[in-house]
Amino acid sequence: MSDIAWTGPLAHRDPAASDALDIEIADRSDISVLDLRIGSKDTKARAAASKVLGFDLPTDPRSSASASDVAAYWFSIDQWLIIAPREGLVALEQALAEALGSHRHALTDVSDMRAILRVQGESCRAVLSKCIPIDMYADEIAPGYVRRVTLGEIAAAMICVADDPDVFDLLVFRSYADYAMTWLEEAADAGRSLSLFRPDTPPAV
Amino acid sequence: MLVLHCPVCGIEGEEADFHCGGEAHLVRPQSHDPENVSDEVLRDYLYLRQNPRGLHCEMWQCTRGCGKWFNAVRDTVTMEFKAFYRMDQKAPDLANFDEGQS
Amino acid sequence: MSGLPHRLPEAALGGRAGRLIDRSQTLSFTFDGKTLTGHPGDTLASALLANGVRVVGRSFKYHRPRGLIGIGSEEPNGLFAIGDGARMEPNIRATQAELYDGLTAQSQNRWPSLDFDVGALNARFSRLFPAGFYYKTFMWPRVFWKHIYEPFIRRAAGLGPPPQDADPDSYEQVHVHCDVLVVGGGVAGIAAAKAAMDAGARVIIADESARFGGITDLEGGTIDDIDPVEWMRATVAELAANERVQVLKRTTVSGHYDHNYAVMMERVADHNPALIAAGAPRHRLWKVRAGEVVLASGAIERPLAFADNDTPGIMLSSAVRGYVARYGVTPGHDAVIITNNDDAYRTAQTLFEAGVNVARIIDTRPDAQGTLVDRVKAFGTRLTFSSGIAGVVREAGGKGLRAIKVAPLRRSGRVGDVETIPCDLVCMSGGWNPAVHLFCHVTGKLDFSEDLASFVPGTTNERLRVVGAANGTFDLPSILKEATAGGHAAAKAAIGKAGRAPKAPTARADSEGPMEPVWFMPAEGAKNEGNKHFLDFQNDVTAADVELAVREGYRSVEHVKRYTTLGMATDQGKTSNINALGIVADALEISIPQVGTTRFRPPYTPISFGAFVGQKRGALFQPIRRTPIQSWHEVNGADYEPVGQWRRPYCFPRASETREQAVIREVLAVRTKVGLLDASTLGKIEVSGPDAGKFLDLMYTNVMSSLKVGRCRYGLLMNDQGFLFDDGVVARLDDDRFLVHTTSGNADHTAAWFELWHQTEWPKLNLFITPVTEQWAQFAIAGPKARQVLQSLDSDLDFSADAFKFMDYQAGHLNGAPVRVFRISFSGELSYEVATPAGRGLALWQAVIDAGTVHGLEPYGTEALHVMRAEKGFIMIGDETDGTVTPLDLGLSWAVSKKKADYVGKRALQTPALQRPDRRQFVGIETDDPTFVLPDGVQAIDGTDASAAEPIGYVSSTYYSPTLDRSIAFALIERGSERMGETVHFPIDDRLVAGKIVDPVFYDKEGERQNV
Repeated sequence: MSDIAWTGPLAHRDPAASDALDIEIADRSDISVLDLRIGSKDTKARAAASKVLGFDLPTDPRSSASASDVAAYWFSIDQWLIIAPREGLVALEQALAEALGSHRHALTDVSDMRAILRVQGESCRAVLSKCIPIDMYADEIAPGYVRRVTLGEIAAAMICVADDPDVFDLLVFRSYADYAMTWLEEAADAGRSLSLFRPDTPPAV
Repeated sequence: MLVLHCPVCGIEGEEADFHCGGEAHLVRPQSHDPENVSDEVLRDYLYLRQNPRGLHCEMWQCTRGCGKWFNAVRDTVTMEFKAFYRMDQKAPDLANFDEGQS
Repeated sequence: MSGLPHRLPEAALGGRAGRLIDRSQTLSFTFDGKTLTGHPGDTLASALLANGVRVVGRSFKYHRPRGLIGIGSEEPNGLFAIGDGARMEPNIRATQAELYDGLTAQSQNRWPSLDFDVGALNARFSRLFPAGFYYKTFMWPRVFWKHIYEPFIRRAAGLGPPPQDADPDSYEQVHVHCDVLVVGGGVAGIAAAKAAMDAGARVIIADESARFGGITDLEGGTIDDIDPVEWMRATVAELAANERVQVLKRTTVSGHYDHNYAVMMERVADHNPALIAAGAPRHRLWKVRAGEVVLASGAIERPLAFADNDTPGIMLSSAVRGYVARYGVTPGHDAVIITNNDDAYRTAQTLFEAGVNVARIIDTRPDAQGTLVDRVKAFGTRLTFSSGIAGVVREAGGKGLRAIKVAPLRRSGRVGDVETIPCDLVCMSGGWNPAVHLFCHVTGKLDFSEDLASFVPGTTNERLRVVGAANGTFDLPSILKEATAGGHAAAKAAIGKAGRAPKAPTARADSEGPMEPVWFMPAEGAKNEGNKHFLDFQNDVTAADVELAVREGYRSVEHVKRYTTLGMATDQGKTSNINALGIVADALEISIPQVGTTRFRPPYTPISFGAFVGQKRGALFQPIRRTPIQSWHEVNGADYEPVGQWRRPYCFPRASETREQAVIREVLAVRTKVGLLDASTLGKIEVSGPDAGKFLDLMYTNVMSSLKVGRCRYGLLMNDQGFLFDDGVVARLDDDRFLVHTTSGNADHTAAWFELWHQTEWPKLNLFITPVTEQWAQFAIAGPKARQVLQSLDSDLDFSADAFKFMDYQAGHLNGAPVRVFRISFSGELSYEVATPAGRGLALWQAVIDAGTVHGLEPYGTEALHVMRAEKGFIMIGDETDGTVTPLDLGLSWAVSKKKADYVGKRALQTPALQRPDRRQFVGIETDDPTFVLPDGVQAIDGTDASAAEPIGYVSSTYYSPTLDRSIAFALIERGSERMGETVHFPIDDRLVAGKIVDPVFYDKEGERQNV
């Protein structure tokens, strides 16, 4: 009945030729995202939300937890992003709202607020070193790690999805998706591959 | 480009990933007794700041971490950070400051 | 001079001459249009010397012919513009430019040619250009400044020419972290990096050159009983093969900053333009955060100050040695060596073994002993002690030397008996300066070493240690011990554990005797004044200049530097600073450490603008934001205006319309039919929780807690100083849930503002702040037919006047899309703002366009919006506010609560300064001439004498109003609210424009139209 179609944040854009880039970049923005806030000391409210989710809300900074296709990402001591497939949004939101009803909380549908770009490939960390100032080779950046960062000149969040080969999800505010994509495509350009912390030919002496 | 450690979420990050809010431990006079704030007291709160050569208590926000504000002690000469502590913790005694504390 | 070739035969030096070049291949290049040849492995400098080129440039001030003196980044004279057209880069040191086939090089600072340079006339008048002449000439008469002096100085200034075209190359920046950053790839850096690597650290080692190894290949000795070059080669291979080590060549660590941040510039493709065609960036800027830094930056040889020491053919001794050994090139065939230390004897030995005649070795010391000297004595060369160079016999035009004059060094400072020695090459060595620059960039303090007559690193507050020659350690066994221990200690400090300290490699090296500093060699006749004793070759500063500065009272080394410009050229005094300190110390009769050094600042060598910019050019110059409707605007001919990082449609001009015509059409369309505006950029923040209302009461001037669910209220935000910084409509979505709107430019700031107050002042209040600006696309449907358009869509909302009143909020659906609808108006017409999740924005917008066509709906832009709000007397943040304007100034006291005990800004409004009756107040202006639109920002005066009057205010907004068919404006005028009907004047160029102060609401004063 609804003839109001959903448009992705990068629909206007021609994707770069895949062989021109060292890594794959895919738009995974068509997904549900809920912004959940619960007081940092409110164990009861957290337990109520955890019951609905089927796993404990992660309280270690920069960690995540998941079960089946629902994941929760730590964004602050009192804030999580819950990410799930598009279809499940209404039911999940309702279930959480009911469970949290009497507790102090804020639960907001922010499914369209961000663009999610998934990058994968062996060169991910080297490519992202041209985008993000943190230590991309730190041991703590392992699957499940989530961190708010600066990408180029904008705010972003980075989720380590898998390693070997590396897979990262980059979350940026929707209006910046085009800028983020341009920055990433330039960083990933195969003509300017950067060998970082790999065995290399030695310079002459 | 300084490096900071957020005492709230434990992250270590570049200065550009934080935001400095100026002098810490300012007491807003109107919050406590709005009817009895003289012009002079208001003026000092709004405009007068310490500008020490040496240890300075200042506010920082962990903008690319947890988004929370915290306080720090920074040496304005050497640019070393001597301490990071949460908003709800007491201000350190700078006159007798010892790095071991806080 | 002798006609002999400068490229040594392969057999020279026992078959080792030119170990870096590949003689089996020939490259061709051009120098000032002339085609020459060289080999792979040559630098432009070695290739020029091989071709017998002696004059490579003209000096900055006097335009004296200059030759190469060095072999690395310390080179002050051999600066060239390399490359063609848009790719040309000026001021490149020939000693660092690797030769490639087709390289084009142009000498600089000469006209019409290097050989015949008109600028050389300056030298004849050199007495008129002493130090400080910039400050004494070109002063009078004043009228000459703009049209005579400035163009002349501009033409004469600078060295190389700037490129004229846009740079076609790309650049990039990379962030990298490591446990240990090793600066310098000489033997000390290599040993330190190996020790750090073996201890398990993540290491970055960088050298400015294309090769590693520093100067050790020219020093003899052995490491672990093998040739040091072999040892270094094997160790560098180990480093490069290790995954935890990043080995970077052609990479200069140019600056060290707080908390061990370092910036490095890598010249990725300068040496091979084919790489650029393959997509490589030309330069790469590395931004490094290191746990520990090991500085192994080596030492730089000092020239000696004697008369005419700038003559082409006079070079640093170790550089000559390097040209012979590495490139198989000798700059001359009859050499004289002048030295105050033992290292120059290595040069003598190398020249002998290469078959070059060493006519004399002049040593300023009374004697020299040791194996280095003995080996040279065995060759049978004459040594002259306790002597110096008293003068140079130059070729015509000063383009080379024919002979030097040697004389004993007397304590009287006068020259004794002079002997002339024919030669075409002088190898000078005044000692070695540790390259301490990076040590001093942050908190490093230097000590003075009497043994070296130079500065060495002292104390630092940083996690940085210095090893090798940079630390004043010059003998190979000690360097290896120091570097190995330093690398290990750095690793341990960085990662917390490191195992046992390793044993340093063993080494054997010739021992060296003590050196004796000599800062000035007496000369014959008038030249003994020192005005041809060059200290700074690039900026043409002589010993006489430095002494003049001291005589004129400039006693601080920082003043001497700026008065003479010594050390201020692109080489930043690498070969001149310490020599100048010697002269200053003697002139002031104090010690060199008492004189001190000038402040060291990054960059160590020049960094291209491209590297600084990195990726941030073109589309990435700044982050440009797109609304969910952006692609519709693009297809439909929007004309944009920048609003922060957004590009909002200013108007939608049709085929042959001007902007002005489009705006007029859009205003009339909205006022008479209906228009559609993309308002997605406005900030949206949800404030929820039991104390949300209480919190908003503390933030806003209004009472928000009394707002009913389903209603909207226009609110003002002040800072605690009482100044208005944002406005917007607040809607109450639910008992505990408010939606705050902000202006587009303040979306992020206001959310941060709320967080700051909640976290730091009122943390006990029970609420959460959730920014949702980008979750919602939002548009305004405004005009008499707005209701009809909405009613023609499929909806569960009742838009009739009674069901949906002005300032109501309702949530529902339009054509199945979830929407929040706010009946608010900035245009003053019947208006609804419709928000839908951003992904649905584009399709819903299209649906509204389609439904609205039959009603004459037109899209409108920001300018039409601004005109309409002005017609209605509505203020705009950023026009009527400038950080010093209060809500009372703007006549908004109705929104400023007197009931609330406290809110941000309340107390400040009560201070005398913000209560003064003569403050500038918000009024409307109608110019006497209705066709004249006042320029934005023009000042207002009382009376008609513009030259005598003080401004009493200014124009803050100004438009042509299509609705009223006349110009309208807002202004902030002193006592404005008391002056309704009075005339003020606006001086504009040489006219005086009259305008009447009126009520700022020009149209629909009762506000009936938004209420229909």
